[in-house]
Amino acid sequence: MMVFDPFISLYVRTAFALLFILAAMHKLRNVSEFADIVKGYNIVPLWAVAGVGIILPLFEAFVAAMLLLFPVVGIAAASALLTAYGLVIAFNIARGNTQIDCGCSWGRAKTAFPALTWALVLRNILLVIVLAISLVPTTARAFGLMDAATLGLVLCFTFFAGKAGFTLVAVYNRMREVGHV
Amino acid sequence: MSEVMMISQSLLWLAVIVLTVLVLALARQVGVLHERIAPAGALAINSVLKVGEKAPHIIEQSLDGARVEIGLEKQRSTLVFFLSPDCPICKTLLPALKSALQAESGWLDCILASDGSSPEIHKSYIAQYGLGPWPYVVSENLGKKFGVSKLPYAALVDEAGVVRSLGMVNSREHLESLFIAKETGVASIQDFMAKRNQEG
Repeated sequence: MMVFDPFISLYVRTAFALLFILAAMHKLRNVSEFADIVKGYNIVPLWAVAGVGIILPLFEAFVAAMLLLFPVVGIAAASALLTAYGLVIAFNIARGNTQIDCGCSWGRAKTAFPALTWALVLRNILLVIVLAISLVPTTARAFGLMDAATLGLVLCFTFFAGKAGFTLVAVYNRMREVGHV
Repeated sequence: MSEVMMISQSLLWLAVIVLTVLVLALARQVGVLHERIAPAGALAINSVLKVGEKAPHIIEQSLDGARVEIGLEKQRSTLVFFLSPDCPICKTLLPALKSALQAESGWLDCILASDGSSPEIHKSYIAQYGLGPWPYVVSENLGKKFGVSKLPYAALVDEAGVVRSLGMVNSREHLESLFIAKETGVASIQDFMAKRNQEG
């Protein structure tokens, strides 16, 4: 049977916890803007939009805490949330409601993702697969100073690599919009 | 030995982080450069209507019940601005549109055109963004006749009912380029480049 070093699970869970906590903080700082995005998806009835706009980021923060405290619960909740987001995007693409803000650009570049695409659904599927890696059984060992240092450095790398990847996609999308690629 | 490994490992990670930050900076720089060299004018992508052609004659009713007519000879030019409540770029462009319309109010009228959604959504959109002063038409026909494929889109129809410029507008510069196109008689940046290449 395949067995991983426990560091891999720790890293994946911490990285996703950071992702969810940052996403939740951003949404809670711009509640009305996020409510607009929820409205754009046209799934929740209008009277519930404001409520969902607050409950979703709070649930994201809860998922982040669970990922760190109760791994299995956290991974299940995070996968469920990512799958739900993916399904909502897929449903809107299927019915042609694509010209909306996906709510995945953290408000910094609304024009970065001008429309919903299958790439966003694929992204969520990949994220769930990566999350599943942390469910692979691990060997038992105590973490030391070296693990702490490596975790900090790897998370730092992940943050900047993620930002760089996001920027490249945004630039590519803008170029495609004006016919430069 | 393990201490040496620790230091080496940490230094390598630091190097990877520095490199990633550099990649990020470069990616941003590519974006900035692209913004600067991208066509400054509204992108003219239209297979239905061409600059210089007579605008289609359309009679519609605005949301408040007034009669709106496009394509006739008038005293003033008309900007037909296509937008939608669920187009995020349109929202960011509205302040620029409103100030441009005020600045050009001496010669220019505007018609806001949208389609789909229920009238309530359009009405709350008008109220939210202060679009009351301009006639707001909800009509799929209008967009089809003008060959609109992407939003936000605008077409400038002059006093004689002739299309003087049209294209997708993503920024204030794009919007102003439509007015400049009318003044200079050059339809679009693509048109300008084509003419320059011919001359060259």
